[in-house]
Amino acid sequence: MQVYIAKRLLSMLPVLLLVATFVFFIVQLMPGSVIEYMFGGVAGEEGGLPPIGAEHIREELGLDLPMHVQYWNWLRRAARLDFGDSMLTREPVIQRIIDRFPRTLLLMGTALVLSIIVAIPIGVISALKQYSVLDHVVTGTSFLAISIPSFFVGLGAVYIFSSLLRWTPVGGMAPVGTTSPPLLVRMHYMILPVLVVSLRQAASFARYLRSGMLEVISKQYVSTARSKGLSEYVVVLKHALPNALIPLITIIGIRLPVIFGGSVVIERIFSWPGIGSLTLNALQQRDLTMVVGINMFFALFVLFANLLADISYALVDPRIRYG
Amino acid sequence: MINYKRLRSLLVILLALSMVFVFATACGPEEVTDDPADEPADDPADEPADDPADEPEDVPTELRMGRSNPPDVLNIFRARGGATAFPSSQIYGLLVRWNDNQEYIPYGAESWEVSDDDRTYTFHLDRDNVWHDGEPVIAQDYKMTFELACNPESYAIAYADLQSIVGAEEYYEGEADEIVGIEVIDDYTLSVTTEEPDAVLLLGLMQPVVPHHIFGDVAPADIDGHEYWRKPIGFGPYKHVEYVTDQYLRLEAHEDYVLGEPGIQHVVIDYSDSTNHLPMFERQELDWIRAPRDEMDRVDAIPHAKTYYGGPYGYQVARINMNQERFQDVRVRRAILHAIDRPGILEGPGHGEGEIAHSPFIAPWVDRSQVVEYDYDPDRAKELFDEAGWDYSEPIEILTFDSPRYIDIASIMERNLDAVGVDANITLGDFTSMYGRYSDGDYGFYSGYFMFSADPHTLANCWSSSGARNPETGYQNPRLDELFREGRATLDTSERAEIYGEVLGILSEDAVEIGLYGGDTSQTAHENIVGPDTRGFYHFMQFQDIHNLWEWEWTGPR
Amino acid sequence: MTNESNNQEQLQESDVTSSAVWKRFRKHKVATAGIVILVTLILVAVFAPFIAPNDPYEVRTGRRLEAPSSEFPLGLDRIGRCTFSRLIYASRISLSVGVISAGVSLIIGVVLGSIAGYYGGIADHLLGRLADGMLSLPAIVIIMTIVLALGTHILNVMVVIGVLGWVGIFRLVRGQMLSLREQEFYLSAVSLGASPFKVVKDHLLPNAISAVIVAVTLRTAAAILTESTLSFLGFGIQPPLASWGNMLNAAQNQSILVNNPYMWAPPGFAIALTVLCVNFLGDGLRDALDPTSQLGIKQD
Repeated sequence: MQVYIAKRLLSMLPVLLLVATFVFFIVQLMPGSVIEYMFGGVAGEEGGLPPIGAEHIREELGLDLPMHVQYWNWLRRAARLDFGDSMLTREPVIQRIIDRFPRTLLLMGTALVLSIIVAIPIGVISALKQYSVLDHVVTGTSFLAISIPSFFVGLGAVYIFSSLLRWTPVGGMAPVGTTSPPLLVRMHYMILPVLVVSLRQAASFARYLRSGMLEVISKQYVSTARSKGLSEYVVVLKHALPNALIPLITIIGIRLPVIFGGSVVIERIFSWPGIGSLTLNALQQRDLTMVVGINMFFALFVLFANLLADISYALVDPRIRYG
Repeated sequence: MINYKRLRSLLVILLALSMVFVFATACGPEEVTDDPADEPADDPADEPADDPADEPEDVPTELRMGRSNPPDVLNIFRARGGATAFPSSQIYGLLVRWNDNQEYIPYGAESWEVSDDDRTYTFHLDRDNVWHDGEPVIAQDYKMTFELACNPESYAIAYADLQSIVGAEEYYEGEADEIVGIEVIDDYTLSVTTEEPDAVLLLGLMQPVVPHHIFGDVAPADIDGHEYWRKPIGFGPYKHVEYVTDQYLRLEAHEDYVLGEPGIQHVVIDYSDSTNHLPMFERQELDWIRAPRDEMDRVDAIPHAKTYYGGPYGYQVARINMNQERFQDVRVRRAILHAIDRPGILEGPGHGEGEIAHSPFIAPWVDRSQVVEYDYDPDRAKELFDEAGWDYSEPIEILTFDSPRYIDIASIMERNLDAVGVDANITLGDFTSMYGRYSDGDYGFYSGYFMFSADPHTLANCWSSSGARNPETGYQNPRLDELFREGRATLDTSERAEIYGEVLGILSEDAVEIGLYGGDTSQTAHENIVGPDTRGFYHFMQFQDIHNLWEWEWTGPR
Repeated sequence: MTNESNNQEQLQESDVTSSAVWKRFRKHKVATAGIVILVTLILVAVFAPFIAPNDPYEVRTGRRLEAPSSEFPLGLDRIGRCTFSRLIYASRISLSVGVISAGVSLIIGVVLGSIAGYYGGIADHLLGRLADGMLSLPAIVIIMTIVLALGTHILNVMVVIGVLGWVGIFRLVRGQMLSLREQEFYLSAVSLGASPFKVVKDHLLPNAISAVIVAVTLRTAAAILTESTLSFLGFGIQPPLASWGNMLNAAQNQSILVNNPYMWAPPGFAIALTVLCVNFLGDGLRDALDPTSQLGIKQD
């Protein structure tokens, strides 16, 4: 197992290098730079900085160096896990990510947990009662969930629950001028985005679980268990479900980048100040170090989550051996 | 077969972990930040009501404002755009300021006199003026600030405004350690001497001042990375309390403010998402907003809303790159002016509230009689295009930003040009890429928004051949250069009104830009707040939508 | 992998002659409905100029945000363009972005998948890492970055969405190739000295085709969704061109969101309907082409 983990960790390195290189050069290709962003302002004429000042900033940020030198410098520092400072605010990139990421994790993590909790009973029942009304509803919902763009669901939810009914706050994660409100208030702010994200995920998790259950139920050991006279309840919960859950772990691992990438959209609609909105801002500000840093962080997160999924897979399924 | 016990325990652990973490993130740092929910509870004790019979309810001590564009940095030597300007104007103080008629009146300086040759200003500083940390504000603070604003190491952001001061050029070039023309006579007396009489010197001296007792020993190159900017200290009306990046900025009244103690104790500026501000105002989560033009109907329906209108302080304009040969013919530029339905643009995207920009909107005292106005006249446009031998096969690329108002304006212009047979296409991008292309001169036709400063001389920045922004338009005219020189050296306002009147005449005669419209501005506040007031001028430290926040007061409950 | 042993049987069991496929497909009622709706949508897109009541680009500056009327069934937008006509014209953009992007993904996925599967070894390893890298990136962020870098021209949007969506098809083709490699017809073809291109074309691809068709269909749905998300965020198709996504962008304005739902709800439903039908089509095709498949909808 240790060898396997070590191998997996090692194989992440080239992937990360690839991601870093790709993102670094793509960002360089974007027109304009953080300098234009800094001095443009809305008032084009107001920020008229003498060329010499702009030159100084360019030098300080290392933007005057050839692209490959910039890349090499960045890489050398990244190798020591130093992702540099934001070009705009001069705060360490890591600091800004650490400020923001827990908020996204709170939103998306809660949504993920909720969707799994909801998906399990629904998936099981719809498999046991195949072709029942519930089963059809689940199938239909899961098709809808993957077909309706999440931003449209989000907009609709804001329109109905926030604008028309006024049940939920307008957006954001806390009342004006606060960052950590009491739990109940926080939940009030979270409920709409969490529901929008988890509805979509729950529907497709339930569908995966359903087909997993169907497959497992037809297997020999389930029939054996049944023939031993165990109650249907015991058969399903103790024998079929655990086996059907295993593939779900992988599915969740695969789905993570989609869920967290989706934070860009969800956070935009619900004004949630997490990493998704940080990403959008950094892109528009041409904050090179931020954009590369966020993408690296994201890739690391996904790779580790996948590794974790595989390890838990191995833990629960003794048939799988890694060496 | 399968170890479901292990699976179950794994699931339980995972669930438990996620729960723990949800709670931890939700309530973790709660004690660390000050809880503003406590504040209203303190009010009755702090402020015994003046009129207990009429006002049994609390008069709030906090003002919650919603603004777009969170500031990225508060370093005023690096950023002075719209986002940084507002908080800066509350935190930092100035040497002098303007009154309603754009005359200079005391701020940090109690009084000043000008020498007979109009070259030396001697300022007597206010002896009661103190920094937010209690230190007195002294002449050294101003001298250091003006020098830093001219030092290339700290980006020389205001060098162009201050270069007329004796010794400024040597200092900027690195040949001198100080600007000799700025003299500290004693702690409370400062004198500034220019090479020539300079009509815009006081405007240039309206720099946000930073403390010498903090930066005195800091090398200019280290200014930008300094701790100070995380919690800056100024002598403006409000102290910086806390800034949660992109979320909110919390300010607290500076009791010893030189112009009088602010009327509202706490100010929170919400930057979360400006599209939410109107519904937040409806729900009384915010007390002050600037609602977008197209939402005014909704604003008017809010019972507790009071809206203040004011003239434009910026204008929508399309710039033409006259470095390109096909735009060098004045007939082509006039043709475009005739082709574009400016009344329609004002009526549509401009909501009919504002004025067509026949010339840049600069100080109202400038003579406008020489301004040439071009009507919407597609037939005349066609004639002019034909006369100029316009090549109809070559399309015009309209560069603009990917936000609704700009897209709408560009879409209308594209239709208008199409109607006179000129092929046009729209290229959209975010601010950085489009403004980047504009400032690199890599454009033909750029539709954007520019603010105008109160002094007409700021036109020189763009239209005098030595102006920093001149290369972008490529327009040069020796007569204009002469007028700008003359205008700067003339201190008499009525003479200047004529000089800049001629400037406006030449600019419109030559159709140097397609001025679209200047939209009126508005701000909306809770009806129980007195003080808001909108003026049609912009200075990054003073004249914008809010110029007198310290005079505002709550007169009743929220 | 149990696939390998099953493969021969599966090939015989699943009769892939077109009539059999069609018979199985027709049994899938929802998929049949889906294809009918899709064909209608395509006809609407093709004949947009005849169906749209007004010029979708004509601006009426004085009549912004007018409510629906008989002349303008869905009212007017911010600069007085007919929303209904724009909705109809937008179908052209949204559908073609879906199809072309999926086509780009298909080409890249098949070519790289064939290379990885055919040569194996180092090529397979490198491409595998590349695919891992792609999957560990937030696709939407990368697409936005590239679109910003290249400019938001519609062709760029199509190509970029396509280029970022190849991994699913790549893995599928590669998997099929790897499993088929062990089989006799492949070994004999290689031993007879056939060129790699010919082997892939004549022997490997035909065996992978049904799975690829399904994957491309689902890819089309995903591409339509991606385009709409991009345009919604302002990074995709740019006005004056209308796409369903950029029409929805208007709903980011609070008063339009609340006062003019007829402006933003129809394009939203149009996206949902189209993607739903394409997904149904994909599901039906999967059942028809590969009846042994158990797993339902697949998403990437």
